[in-house]
Amino acid sequence: MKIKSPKDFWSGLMFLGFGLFFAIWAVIHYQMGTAVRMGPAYFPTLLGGLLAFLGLVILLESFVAEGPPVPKFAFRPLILISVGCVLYGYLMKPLGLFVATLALVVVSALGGHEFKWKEVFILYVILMLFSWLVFVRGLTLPFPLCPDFIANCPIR
Amino acid sequence: MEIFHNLVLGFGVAITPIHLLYALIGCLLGTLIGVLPGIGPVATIAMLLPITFNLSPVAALIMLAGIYYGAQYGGSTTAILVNIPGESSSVVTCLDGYQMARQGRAGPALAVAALGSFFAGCVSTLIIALAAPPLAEVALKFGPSEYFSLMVFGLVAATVLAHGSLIKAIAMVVFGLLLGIVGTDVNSGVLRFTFNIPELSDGIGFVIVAMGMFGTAEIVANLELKDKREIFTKDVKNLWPTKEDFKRAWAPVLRGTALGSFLGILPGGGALLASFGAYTLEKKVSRHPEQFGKGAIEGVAGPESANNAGAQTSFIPMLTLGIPSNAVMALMIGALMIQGIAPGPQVMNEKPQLFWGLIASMWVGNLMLVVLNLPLIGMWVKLLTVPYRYLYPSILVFMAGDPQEARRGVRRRSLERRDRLHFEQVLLAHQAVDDKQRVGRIGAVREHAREFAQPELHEFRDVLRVHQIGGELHYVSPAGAGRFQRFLDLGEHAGALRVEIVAGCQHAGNEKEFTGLDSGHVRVLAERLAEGVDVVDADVCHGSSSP
Repeated sequence: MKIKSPKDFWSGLMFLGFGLFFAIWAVIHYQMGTAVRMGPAYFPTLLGGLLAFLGLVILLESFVAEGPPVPKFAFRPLILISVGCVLYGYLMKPLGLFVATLALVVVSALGGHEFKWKEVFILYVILMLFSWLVFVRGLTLPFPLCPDFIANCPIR
Repeated sequence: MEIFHNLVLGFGVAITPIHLLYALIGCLLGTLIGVLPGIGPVATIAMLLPITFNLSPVAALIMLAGIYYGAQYGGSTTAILVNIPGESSSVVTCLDGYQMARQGRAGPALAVAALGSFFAGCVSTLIIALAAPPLAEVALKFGPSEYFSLMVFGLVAATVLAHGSLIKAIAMVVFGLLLGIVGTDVNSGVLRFTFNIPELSDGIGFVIVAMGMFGTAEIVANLELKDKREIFTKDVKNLWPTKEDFKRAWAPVLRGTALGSFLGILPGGGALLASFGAYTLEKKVSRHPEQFGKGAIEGVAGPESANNAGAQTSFIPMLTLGIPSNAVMALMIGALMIQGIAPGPQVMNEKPQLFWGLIASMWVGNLMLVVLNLPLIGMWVKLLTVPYRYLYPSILVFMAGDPQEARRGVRRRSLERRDRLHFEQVLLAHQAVDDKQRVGRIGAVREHAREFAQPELHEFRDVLRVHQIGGELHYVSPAGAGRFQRFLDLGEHAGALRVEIVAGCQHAGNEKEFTGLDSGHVRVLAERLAEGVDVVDADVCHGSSSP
């Protein structure tokens, strides 16, 4: 058994994994019901099973048909950009808009080819002002500005 | 002539100064993001959604539509001059457009692309004006089964039309459906796949998926590409195509327009598919296919007309059926919802200014784009020299800051309108609630609606819904809760809350009975309650569950 189409192999595996996850999770945690009175587990199990089946077909095909190899993974930007976005989300509540924006800009900038502290800092200041003016002032979004632990925040 | 009358109405709306301004802003923004690779119309429109909250519906749609077709124009500029498709729909324009530029014929290539697009824009505007009214008339008769069939057709069409592996396309459709399952089950109220994260209980928004798939994925992809750009701006002086060019280009423009208009209407279609289709078609019908890829003007004229035609006719299913044919249209529907308009066939009759104004503005916008773009090409190209390392963190900040808020905006408005009847059965079943507790919580929810997690809002929504039932019960009994009266504008409808509270008390702890209930039973519940509090003439026929 030799994998002839690595790209298909991995995508098949991915679909299989997602499908099984959805189906199994639904079966374990929710009520199945019947086709007439579908319970919360019914549709996810069906769809998850279908996805797993399709993944399996793609997976098996990859042993038969020739296909393209998997191109090199862009791990660095992939991880850093994702981490930047996640940080932004999680830091917003405890540390406020300014810190969250700083984390997003710096971490995502690290994912690029060049990183110069001065440039990134200037960019941060511009984006921070933009966020404040547009999101908070303009759109009145309920973003906290200051970290939680500063009791009497001077900026409001 | 009905259509003439309608178009006059439309132009009357579109040519007011304020709408012209928004069309201009939309077109300029669209061209800008079309020129810049790494940011497409989906991300831009998603970013601007919350801003449209403060505009009138017409102005909002005009601006967002301008962004969409403006991006088609802008995308072709960079494709021709720099060999970078600013937009995915101009990928094929790179093939021949860039070759023309290398031969010193960048000017004619740009002019043909712009003129072809303009022609296609005019024709497809007319098509929308002609085709939309009869379609909407049919759509008005649609029931749930017709809409379901349409959805299935859309999903099938999306897989058939997708290029690449068919089975993977189907798998992605299934995966998309599974993502749609995350959140509260409409039938039972059970939270599915939320992993105790309250934000997930309202589901994963379309905008968010689109941002992740198109926005961040594209940034990551772009960061892996090393820049190698060769820009042909100095050759753009000689704009006007020769007679020979015109002779060769008119037929492809016609064919591209026809093909693009058709593909744009299909679900899953739109600009991208249209341009690829048109290129293949031109290559097939051409008498000298060997010139393609080496600077054939047909290879620019056909796809460029097609992508613009496709971009515009994809508005037809959105406007008439309320069904998005692609990601951009789904966002447009979001924009309408923010404005409190439920997209669908009724829009045309209820809001003719909006409908015809939008159509007329498309023509106006296309004209603007032709007039503006050719002189401004130098400026757009200069923008390309902005290093990507400044651009992408900014894009991320726009994206990270906005979409969830846009969605909350949508939700806040839709609370009043078309929320689904859905009872927090499980919640009620597990918690023995007493009136005061519950009333207090509801008051607090209203007070901090923004900060509260979604389950609370769900509950709040249910209360509002039950409040409607209560309204029909004619003041069951006054609920003496001073606190919430201040925060809820339910004052005289307080009885409604009472209904819900009593319902909660009666059934609390009895999980079996609760899981047996579905939304239709709420009516019965209300009836029983009405009995309990001695209301004789309770009119509780309600919603779709009424006999």
